[in-house]
Amino acid sequence: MAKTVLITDDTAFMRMTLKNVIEKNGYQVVGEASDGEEAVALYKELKPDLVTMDITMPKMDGISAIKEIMKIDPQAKIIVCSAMGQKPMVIEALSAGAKDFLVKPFDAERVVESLRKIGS
Amino acid sequence: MDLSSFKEVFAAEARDYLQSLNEDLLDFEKNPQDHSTVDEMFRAAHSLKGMAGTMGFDELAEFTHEMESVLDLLRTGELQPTTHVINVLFMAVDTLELLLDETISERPISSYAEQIAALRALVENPQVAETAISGEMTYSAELNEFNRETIKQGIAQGYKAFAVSVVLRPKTILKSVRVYTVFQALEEVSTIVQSNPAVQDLEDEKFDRQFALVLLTKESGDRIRQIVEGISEIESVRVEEIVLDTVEAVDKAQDETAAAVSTQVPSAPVRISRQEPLVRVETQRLDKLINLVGELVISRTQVIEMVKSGESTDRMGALDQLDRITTELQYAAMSLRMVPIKQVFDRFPRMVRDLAQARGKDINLEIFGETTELDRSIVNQIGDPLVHLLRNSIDHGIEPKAERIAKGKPAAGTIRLSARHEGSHILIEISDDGQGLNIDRIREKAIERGLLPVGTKEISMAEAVNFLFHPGFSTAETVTDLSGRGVGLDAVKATVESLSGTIDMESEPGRSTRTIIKLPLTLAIIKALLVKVDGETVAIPIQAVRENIQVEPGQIKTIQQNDVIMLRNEVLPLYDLADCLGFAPVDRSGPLPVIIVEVRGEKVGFIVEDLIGQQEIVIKSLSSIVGDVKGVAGATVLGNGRIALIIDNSTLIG
Repeated sequence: MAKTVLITDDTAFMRMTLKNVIEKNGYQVVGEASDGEEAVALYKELKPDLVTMDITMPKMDGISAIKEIMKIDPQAKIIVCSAMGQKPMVIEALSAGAKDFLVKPFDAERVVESLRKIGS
Repeated sequence: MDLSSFKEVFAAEARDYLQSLNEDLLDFEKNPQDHSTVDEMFRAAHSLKGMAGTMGFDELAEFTHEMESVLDLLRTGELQPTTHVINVLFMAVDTLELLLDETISERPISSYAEQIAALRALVENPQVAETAISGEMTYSAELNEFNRETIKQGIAQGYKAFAVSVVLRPKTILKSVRVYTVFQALEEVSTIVQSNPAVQDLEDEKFDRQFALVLLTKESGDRIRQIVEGISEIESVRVEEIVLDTVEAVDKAQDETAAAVSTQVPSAPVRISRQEPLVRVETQRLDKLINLVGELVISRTQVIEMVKSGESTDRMGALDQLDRITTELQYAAMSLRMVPIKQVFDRFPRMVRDLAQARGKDINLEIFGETTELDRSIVNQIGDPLVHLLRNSIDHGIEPKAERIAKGKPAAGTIRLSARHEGSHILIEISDDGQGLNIDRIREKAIERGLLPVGTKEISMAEAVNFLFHPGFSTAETVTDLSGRGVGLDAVKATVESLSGTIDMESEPGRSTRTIIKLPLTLAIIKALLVKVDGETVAIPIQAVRENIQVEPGQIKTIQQNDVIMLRNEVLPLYDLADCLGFAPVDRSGPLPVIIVEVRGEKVGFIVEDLIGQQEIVIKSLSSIVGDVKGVAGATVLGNGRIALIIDNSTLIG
């Protein structure tokens, strides 16, 4: 069965790009969240195998969302997505429990590698 | 042409060449820009090749040829003197030495294909050799800095140590964060002991694509590799278990000390000790001996003439001359037995270099007084104790680089080895500017061993040193290949004492340790105190004698049926020397001469019949028919032609 993925990003464009890459490579995108709060709520509901998490988002940022999700499920597999120049935040996200990171603009191969390695 | 008669000469000269290759290589390593050293090495290898070829020792000639090719490239600058190249050359010299031993002793020649391949690799592809090494270089540099002690303790506690070398994919974004994920993943299952480059440099992205870690874990190497491979953007990962020093024979100082993690240099196998069948003596000394023998012949003629003619005019003159000649002859003959201590010291620079490299320490070895001469038989036996002391300095004395810098000491430690004459003794001193003796630890250990009452708060430096020399006493926490392998300083002390020497140690905690070995110049002739026992003359080696006193029979007390005397508020056991040797006991009616002798560190009194005086005596061993007699070290022929037994004070009383 295909692994399920929850995409979190505040821009529809980024969600679309990611979804495209992810689904082309045999994963199933089960939900899309546009902020941290939504991501936490959807995680509870959908229990996806993998989560991609943007950092800068309205309402609840990605790092807080990671922390919340880790509280719900310490085994959660979250890949943090950042823009260039967000190094300290990436490290914070990783120490909060994210398993890998991707840097925008996304490189399709990198996205797939990350999903494969973290998902296995 | 039969060349077999030249074999010994060939061997002696070949060893000289090897020794100078070793020395030159050490120099070269310190100063790689010095072309004259390379030229020197090239010439040595070349000469060796020629000699071996002439003798028909093909394997030796072939191997030297390979080495010569490498040296030639170094000479022309086509090959750069990297650490790897130098390590390969050291390996080559070691291999040559083994090859030479095998050739000379006519043992079957082992295969050295691996070593030859290592040399050829340098010749065939100098550039590749270099780049291949640059990766390897960071690797070994990292090992030189890791905290060996931690690893050692970790291994003792059942952890495994691994060197993990990771290469990131080209164009990895946020390299430092990537490294962070590697750290994070590994820290879940292991303790990272060291990283190279340092963590700060990794964070600042001051590295290319490769970094290496040393970690302690209970997981397998495969699991570690899997964990790293499960991280994105990793191009390759290599995991190697770190095995702390492989086999290293205690008595072979020059043995190849395998670096903590094997590098690409195949190590030379363990060498076999050799006996020198030939002794080389300065022509001058031989000439002097011959001259003296000539004079002796003349003197003999004079004496014979004198006796024949019955003239007594110049009797004293002739005897004086005879006396002078024999004394000189004695010294001239002795001098043939004397060799410079250089013979022992020569192997140390290399040993210290290898050990220091393996321990990741920077150590300068300074040698003084290597031309100091002493008896050949002592030279042959003093090597091992010195090796032990040097190793102690390297392993326990000199602190790791970081610790030294933190203490405000120069990063590189210094070990000073010196030899000098003092009277009829030679003093050998080994000092280091390391951490000195830890008196508290020695005290704790002594309490643990039951050598000190529980709760002892303080001991003096002298007491601490005494404990160190106590059999089986070792403060080394874990057994390393160096010290603490059961043979401790007590073994060193025993060897020194068997050479009629003494050993002492002093230390300024935190700053330095100094060990002083005092040895007689020769073992063949000693100064002895001659005494009379039951009408026989007995010699007591003077170094054991503390004093002689006169004791009235009434002063002898008895404690538990043993005789004792009081000497300056000290109670000393008292024995009758005649009784000890199985002669008729002395008549105790009048005042008795008593010799105070040190036996195994304790003062003991021996009653004798009479004192004769001090004299130099020549030690002759007892015939093998008699074998070892307890309490007797040998015998000597006295001036009057009679024989005197020489007391062995260490075994005289049980």
